[in-house]
Amino acid sequence: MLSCYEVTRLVSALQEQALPWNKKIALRFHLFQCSACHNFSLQLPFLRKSMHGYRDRLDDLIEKHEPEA
Amino acid sequence: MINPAITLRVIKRSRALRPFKARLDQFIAQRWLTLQKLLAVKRVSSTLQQSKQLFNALHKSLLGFLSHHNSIFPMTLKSVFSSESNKSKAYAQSVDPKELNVLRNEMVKFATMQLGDKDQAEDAVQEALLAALKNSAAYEGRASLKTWVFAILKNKITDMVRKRYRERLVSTQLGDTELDEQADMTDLFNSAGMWEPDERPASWGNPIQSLDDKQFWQIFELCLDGLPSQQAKAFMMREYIGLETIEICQEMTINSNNLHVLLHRSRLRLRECLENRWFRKEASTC
Repeated sequence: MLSCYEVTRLVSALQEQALPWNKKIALRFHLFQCSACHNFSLQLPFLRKSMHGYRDRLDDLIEKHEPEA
Repeated sequence: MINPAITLRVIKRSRALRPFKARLDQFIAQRWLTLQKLLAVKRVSSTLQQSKQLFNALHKSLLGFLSHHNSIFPMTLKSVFSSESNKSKAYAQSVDPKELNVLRNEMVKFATMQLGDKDQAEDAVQEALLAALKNSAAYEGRASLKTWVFAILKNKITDMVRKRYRERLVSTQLGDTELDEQADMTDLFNSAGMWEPDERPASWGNPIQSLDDKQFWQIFELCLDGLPSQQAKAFMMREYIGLETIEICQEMTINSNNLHVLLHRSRLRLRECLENRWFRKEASTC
């Protein structure tokens, strides 16, 4: 059985790489039962999305500081 | 690869931006911490050199003041401006005290925002005013008084933040504790690896809506700033610049296991911060 800590590690690793099938199944099984880890697994993709949004916002800010040609 | 790293873009455009120096200056002061983190992940040393030059050039005219760096003058504004020096007397007389008070309050507000510490902010303002006084010969005309004093203040703040950042870098060099897998996580998980009851991630509902909220971004930035430097470095390289893990490992000279630990940790911290400061609050007010 995976602990919640191990599950969060796997979920984080999933953002970088694919997992072997046996780990994938163990992960699925845990996420099905544990709402906290399930929420966590939904939040990481959102973090990535907001990071992209953050980058776009900063780019816009710089854009605005460009002199009017 | 490293394309739209923000500093690089600022640097590239700096020449064209020269007429807008004041605004650029303000922008950089506001974004200083973020820029610093990005600077830390710059891999090409020549661009690093360039960016350093840019920051130096922005404050070049005021660098002389740096020599007074460590001295703190515990004087009130009043005593500064009633000092014996003829020069300062002349200067003080040419400026309306009310106007000065307003200016000073603005400066303290500005510095507090940047430094996040009222005492340090007061110090910075005090030193900036004193420096302004000392070099009052260089001051030409009232119209630019605010700009001029603020330029000195920004320089002072930049210097303080830089120093603080350097200290943080030294103190958080990849140590055993930061790579030790279990360390530092005891507040989130119990010894069996289960979530502590009050740390269990809650549902964020439909978080995409938050991306349109200005306040959300302030919190987001705050949370990013709160990450320890090595975690922030790894996280920014991965999620902001979008580097692959191999590239980050090379850049930070760590192995992939270390990197996964850093990324895992930064994600745990970031989501914790967002939940506590944003999502939980949002839920409680509705």
